[in-house]
Amino acid sequence: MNILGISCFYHDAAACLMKDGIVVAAAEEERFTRKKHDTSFPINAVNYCLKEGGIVINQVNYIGFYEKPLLKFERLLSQHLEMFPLSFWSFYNALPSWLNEKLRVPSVIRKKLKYKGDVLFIEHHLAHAASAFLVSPYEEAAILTVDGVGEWATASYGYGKGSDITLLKELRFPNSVGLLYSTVTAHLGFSVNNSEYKVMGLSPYGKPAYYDNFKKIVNIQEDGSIEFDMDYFDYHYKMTMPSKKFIEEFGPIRNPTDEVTQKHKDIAASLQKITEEILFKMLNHLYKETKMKNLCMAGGVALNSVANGKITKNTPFKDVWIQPAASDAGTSLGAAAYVHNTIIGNKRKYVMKSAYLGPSFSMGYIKNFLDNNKIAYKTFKSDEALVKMTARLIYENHVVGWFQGRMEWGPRALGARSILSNAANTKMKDILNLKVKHREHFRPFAPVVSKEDVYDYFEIDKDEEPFMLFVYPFREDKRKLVPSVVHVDGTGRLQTTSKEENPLYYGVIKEFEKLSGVPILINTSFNIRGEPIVCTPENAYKCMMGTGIDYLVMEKFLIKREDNPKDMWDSEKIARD
Amino acid sequence: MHHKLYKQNIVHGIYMLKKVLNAIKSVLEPISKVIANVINFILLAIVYFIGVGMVSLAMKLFGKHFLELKKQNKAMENKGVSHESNWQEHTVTKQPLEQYYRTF
Repeated sequence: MNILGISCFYHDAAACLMKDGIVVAAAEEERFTRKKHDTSFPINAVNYCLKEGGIVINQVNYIGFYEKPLLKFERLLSQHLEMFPLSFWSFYNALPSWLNEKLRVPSVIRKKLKYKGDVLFIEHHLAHAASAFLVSPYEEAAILTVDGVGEWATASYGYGKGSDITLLKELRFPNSVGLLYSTVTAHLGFSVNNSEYKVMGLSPYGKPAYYDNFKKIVNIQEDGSIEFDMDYFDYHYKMTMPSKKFIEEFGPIRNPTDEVTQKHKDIAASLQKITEEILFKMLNHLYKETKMKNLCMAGGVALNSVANGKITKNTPFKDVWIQPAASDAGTSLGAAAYVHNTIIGNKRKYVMKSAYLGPSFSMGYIKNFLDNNKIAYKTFKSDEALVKMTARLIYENHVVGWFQGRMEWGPRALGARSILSNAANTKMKDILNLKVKHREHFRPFAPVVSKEDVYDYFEIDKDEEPFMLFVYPFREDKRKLVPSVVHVDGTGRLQTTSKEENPLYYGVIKEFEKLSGVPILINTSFNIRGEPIVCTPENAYKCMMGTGIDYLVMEKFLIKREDNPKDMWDSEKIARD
Repeated sequence: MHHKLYKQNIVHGIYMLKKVLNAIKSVLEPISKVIANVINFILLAIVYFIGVGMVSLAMKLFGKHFLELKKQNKAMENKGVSHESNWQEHTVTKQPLEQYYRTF
């Protein structure tokens, strides 16, 4: 049985294919169109999924769509009816896309895919819940989903047992943790639905001096439910988010080109504190209601890895599993899983142990690309040679683009489309920023560590963290060994890997350990600033040649940037945030 | 010989016609976009101010609200701690297959 899940038209369009209960392919549309957070119908992602699954569209039994469009439209209309006549410009901007495609989803799907079968609609937060629970390792678990907003719900909780999910209660628009975080993101001069993680990374530099200010605008109950004073927000009727009253309270909106001051850092710290307070109260309430030790989470707010790393310390939950594509892209997987397991009633048999669900490229394909474009390269004779050479290049403080196997699913680079460099070099953060990433100075780089060494380096209560969704403190005595991946508060958003999960990636780490004594590398996403993570060999080569990446290891091929001067270009000229 | 000349003339004529039509298109296209935007604006403004506006004003006369805003503001105004949970009942369990064909 083949189930195709689709999410699109809001942000992070994606597709996922489930064959007989196994996720065989999943990808975000942005990777193909090179348009970050692409909202359009994910035709490229769908085509990839079908190709990877070895099927054509008329072999798809059901398509699962990630929300109920008419319910969402009801909420949108309610906003305009409530806020008339202030919401005209928002109405003018939104309505055409609703009339053109969002209200005509079944016919859009049938036309674009030439599909004649059935389309099933799953409520948005249910799709989030399914994306976490139905592919988790748990037979039963409590479930919490928290995001900006779906149809009406901004958060919901319940539980899963076997192949069934029951959601019990929800928080409704306009009271939304996700929208609060986005409002502050906008106020701090960063882009909404794109840069919330930057605010999270900024927070350790500040003190929660504005905590009481936030308490004025957010009323938090003991059960974690919240009420906003909507006088401080504009998002329910305007294209902007913080209102004049918010600006009076927290100061003027930061221009993106202005310096980030201590005040901004303090606002970020206060926001993080209040977000964690809300989340932990929600989770403690959820535990009281379900008494389950396992927890599954999804929704955009579940990407707040700083909060995630504190869950087991602040709640009774013992084990936590979060969908790697926790934002809206993951709802395509959730929709497919819900159709297969819950609606049709099939027993679950798939656990998501790996996020490597995207396209891979054969040696033949890559060789043709290199030869046709007259690119100078060398070929490794064996995996051993590849691993040894890559480790040596990293040890010698080169920046290495790493392109291996199937592309990752979700926003994190996890050793398939990564940039790797020397975490032990105190200057490597500056080198990476100067040569390649051009990021804000306050943003940390993330570590990848071999699974068996994680306890030596981190204060962590489990031995694996494959999806880079949790932040943990480094052990104090180890911080000076890997200065380039230790954040200002002594933490790191780690990824663990093992020989079974990713043999080459693991091999490079172990070889690097032989040279340096440290089994940790910097792992950052392989992309030009402002672009999605690379997908194809063409993207990877173009990224290397447009930045300061020194070497590209693409399957068994080694390409040196300096050997190909004809293809050099400056990506900063087109980069945008 | 005449045939060849005749064919060449036709091909040349078609080529020139294409050039002229493309030139006209390049002038008319931006104008048509402006006209489309103006018409869209007028139509959406009519829908908003008459359609949405009339319903909104009528419902407000009956005291109906579409978003729960005043409740929050009132709670904040009182500056007390409201002990009421804001979680709302919304039980979602497995439904019969037909329910999932609905977009609402």
